[in-house]
Amino acid sequence: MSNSMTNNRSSISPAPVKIQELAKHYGAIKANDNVNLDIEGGEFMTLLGPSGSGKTTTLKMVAGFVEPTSGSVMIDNKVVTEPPHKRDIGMVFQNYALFPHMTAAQNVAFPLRMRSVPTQERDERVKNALAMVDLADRMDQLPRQLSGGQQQRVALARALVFEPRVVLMDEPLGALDKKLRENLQLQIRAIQQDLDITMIYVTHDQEEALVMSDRIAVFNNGKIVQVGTGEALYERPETRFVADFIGESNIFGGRLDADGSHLKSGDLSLAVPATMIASSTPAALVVRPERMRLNRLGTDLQGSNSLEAKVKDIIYLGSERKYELEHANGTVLIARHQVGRSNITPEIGENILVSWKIEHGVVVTDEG
Amino acid sequence: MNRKNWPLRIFGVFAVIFLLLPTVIIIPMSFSSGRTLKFPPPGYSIRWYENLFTSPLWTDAAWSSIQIGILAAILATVLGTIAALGLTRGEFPAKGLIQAIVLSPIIIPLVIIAIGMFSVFVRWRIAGSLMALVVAHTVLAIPFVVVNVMASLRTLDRNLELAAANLGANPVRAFRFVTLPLIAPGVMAGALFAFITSWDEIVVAIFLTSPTLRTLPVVMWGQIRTEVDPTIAAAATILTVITTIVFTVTTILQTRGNTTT
Repeated sequence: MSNSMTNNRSSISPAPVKIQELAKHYGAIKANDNVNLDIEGGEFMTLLGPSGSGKTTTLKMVAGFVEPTSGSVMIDNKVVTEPPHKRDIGMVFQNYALFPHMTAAQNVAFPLRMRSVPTQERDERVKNALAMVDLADRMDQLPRQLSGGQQQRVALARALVFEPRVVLMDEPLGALDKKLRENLQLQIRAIQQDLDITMIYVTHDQEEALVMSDRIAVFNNGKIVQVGTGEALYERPETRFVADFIGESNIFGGRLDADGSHLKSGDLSLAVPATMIASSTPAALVVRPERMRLNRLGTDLQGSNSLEAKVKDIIYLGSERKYELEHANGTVLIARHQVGRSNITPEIGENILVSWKIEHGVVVTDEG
Repeated sequence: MNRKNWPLRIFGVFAVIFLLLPTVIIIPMSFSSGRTLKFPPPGYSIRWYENLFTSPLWTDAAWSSIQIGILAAILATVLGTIAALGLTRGEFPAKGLIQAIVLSPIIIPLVIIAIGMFSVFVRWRIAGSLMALVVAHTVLAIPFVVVNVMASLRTLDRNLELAAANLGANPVRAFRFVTLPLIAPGVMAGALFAFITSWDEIVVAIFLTSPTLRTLPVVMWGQIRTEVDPTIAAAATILTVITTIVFTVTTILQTRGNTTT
């Protein structure tokens, strides 16, 4: 895909980014508050969170578009305070921000022109960058003559062609349809690994984050609530927010009892694995739908929590079935099973016993 | 349009005639063969155009008007574009008030502006100079540039300027290579409006001209009060034709700008 570009930058090692106690306050509104994040050189870091959670503000402070209220950004172990045009950071915008009066090639050439790269080398690099995103044959077209996906790829080529120290992407795939989005996710990931670039990627789409990232920083209310690999965030969420935001969850809110072995949630008392969370604080038990087992009434289940429930609905999703179950106290539970791999296949309206192994539950704090 | 609307149609036709007639009636009068300004003319000739283009009184005035118009248009375009950038992009106290002051020449009666400028320029001993008229007309023309450029800037995607900065363009180069090309239709329209403002202006010009420096409208005004010969109709026709051309170009630029950006 991109041999010449890889060769060009073989001597450059990708820059680590360190965000320290970064804050941005607009009057009383704290867009960002005490954001700390260590990104390794060459790492694909995704900032994930709902809209208004502060992930884009953090990105803009790294790019230099927003002045932090306090705190600092370090790139390559040096604090950056320069204006945006001196930061040498590539960025892909949500709406691509291609210059409408320039062709694809002129757009990609722009950062090289600003750096006074000699014409011949410039043309060469523009050609390579557009070839890398499979647009070599669209060089002379204006952005409005290109499709959304093609525009996005021109923007990507433009952000990479000058070999920036870090590349930022602000929901670059948000406007594209699902199929194209999935395609480009893989393409962006492949290019990032191929060129060994430090990438900071903003999205509100948790699936996208899981597909692309080395690590994910989950944002809520202007703060990072948890950082980790996709697997760590999914299997070991630390807060109810993370459990709820990443993947589907059955969540029981309540309090731990005195010895920390059970969680009281309404009239339920559920056995929980050992936890560091203090017994009196609000806590929640999280169980992923695929961990839920369905059993006939009267089954003896050792080492598991079990609840009697009625099957409310069964949704067939191709590779799996999703069961909506209701306990007598009104609690709705969700179970997912790969088709052909459940131990029982109940009908709608049937009463069954839903269970999960104690160690498959995760206790999380019920805040933030 | 259906039949029921015929009263509206007739009204429309009369409105257009009412608006155009005073301008259009000048045109046959300018081709008169007679010695006085009369409608309908007794016969047709182009002698008054010959007079217009050969008499130093008229050619000097036309030349002054063109010089003043172009200089005022250039100044107003540069200053007005800068003002529009500041008023659209800047964050500073009393922005609304400053915008109102910049646009005030549109609202304030010309006579008041003329008297004010006249007294200041007399004090500075520049009344009657080309510079004085250029400065005065620049002030009158700036609001038209500001309004046009601000309209262009508001429709411009802010991210394009951020992208330019991100890609290594300092603020001046970002403006030169990204912002300016994209707001060019608005800037051009502003410049043409500015030229026309100066080209047509008479109130301030009457105060600030001197016997040696007179603009076309001032000479026309002088002539109509002393000797009413059809040269004035010829001059008026030329004035109207140039204004019409400029406005047509402006309109084309604006509609093109709206469809491409």
